[in-house]
Amino acid sequence: MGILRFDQASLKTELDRIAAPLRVVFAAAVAERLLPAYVNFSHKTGWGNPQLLAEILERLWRDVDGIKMSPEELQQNIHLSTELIPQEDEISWVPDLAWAEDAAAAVVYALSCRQSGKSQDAAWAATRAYDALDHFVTTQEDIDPSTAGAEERIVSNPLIQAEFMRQQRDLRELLAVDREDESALIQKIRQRAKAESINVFNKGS
Amino acid sequence: MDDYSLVPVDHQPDFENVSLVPVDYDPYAAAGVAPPVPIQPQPAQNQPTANGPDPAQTSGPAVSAPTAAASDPVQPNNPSPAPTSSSGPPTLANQQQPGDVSAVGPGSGGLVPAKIAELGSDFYNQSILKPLRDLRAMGHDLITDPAYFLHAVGPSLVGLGMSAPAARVGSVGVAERAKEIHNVLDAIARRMRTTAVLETDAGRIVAGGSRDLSPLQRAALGRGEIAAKAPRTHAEATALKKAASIGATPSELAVTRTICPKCAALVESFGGKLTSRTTAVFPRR
Repeated sequence: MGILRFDQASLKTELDRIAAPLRVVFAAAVAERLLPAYVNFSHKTGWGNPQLLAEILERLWRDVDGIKMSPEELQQNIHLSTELIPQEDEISWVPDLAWAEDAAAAVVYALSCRQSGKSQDAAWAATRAYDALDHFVTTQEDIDPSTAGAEERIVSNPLIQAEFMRQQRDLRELLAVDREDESALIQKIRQRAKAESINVFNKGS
Repeated sequence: MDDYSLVPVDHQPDFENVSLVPVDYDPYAAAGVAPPVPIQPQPAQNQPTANGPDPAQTSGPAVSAPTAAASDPVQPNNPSPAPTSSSGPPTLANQQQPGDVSAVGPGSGGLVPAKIAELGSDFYNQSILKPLRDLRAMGHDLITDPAYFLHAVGPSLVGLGMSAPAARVGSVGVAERAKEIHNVLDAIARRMRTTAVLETDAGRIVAGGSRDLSPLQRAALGRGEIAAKAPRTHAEATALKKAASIGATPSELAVTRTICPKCAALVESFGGKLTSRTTAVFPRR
């Protein structure tokens, strides 16, 4: 059995090898895939503003496509998306809150990556996807992490493995792209992330 | 002596007779995603069955809320959690069986062994280290389960670096350890979440708040540290419940956020006494 494992330090090292704008693409793709979790949470609880979060993410995609945000607009969007993160002290707890938090936080980290250019911010976005799916799997399967074999059972779950592979695939493509093909690749990754988002938490992903 | 190792640093585990590359396993087919690059045509028996995603399965995350005991001492904010859409059995419907490719997504295929081998140099896979990682993971599972902790950790794991974290963890106070584990989180999560460390006679119990510990936090636990889980429950209560469930006697508690009145009362009900806004001791009776 070959199981993919998340190594944030190695991921950051790989992200260091690509240009800062492509790190934003990587993080934005993660955020795009998680976005339905926020939408679903908001529909269930009436909390949040999924339309605004989607618009902010959409604005980030247009930014990486060449329609740049001003520093003020970027900072404002970071502020707005941070405000959209649900906090357990404010909302009655439902499991969906956890992955909605991760979805909104991934948008914040994608925007932060755009602002800072730092690989660490993109790596945090990827980490949030791992957090979301880890929590989803342990909740749905009611896994106690202190029991023997629990960690292997969690990390080998197909949902988690699938997200690792999507991140791996995106990063490989970003590492391999020629400068003249960047725009086409960005569009491809964006559209693919949207298409894949409906299945991140479900069979068939 | 904080970072000493019990084995020489040039120690190399013996990987003789161990296959370093899992040539007979197809993670793409098992997990149902497309491989990243075009590959060679597959044998007929590995072709997907052309089943698309199940429309009934595409409504985003929706799970059964974990059953919470009615007697939970701390159930923050929500005495009656909102219903969720899935009421099926706890087993995952998406757990594929070996060879089951019915859930493979659009455009997916399989991988030739060479492609699997290529993954060996990748940051997510690092198959070259897999035997070592598997042994470490096995050891982690053993030591985080109090039922195994006293019996199963033997010298065979020392050479794999299992003892260095133990030495370091044991020399760190609970408050500092709580901060260390909390700081594994990203900046946003650090502001929003809580981490608690409860010293007991069975080991250190480590807990998070409503959403419990993150996977990276759990990975940061060392020998003798036990991950607790209790969704919707404050970190302090999660740790104390875990102690009670394994028959452990608490001695000291440290939390990364101010202990709330409900948790303070719970600490006192366990014989504890607050020593600051974020710490408590449990004097021996």
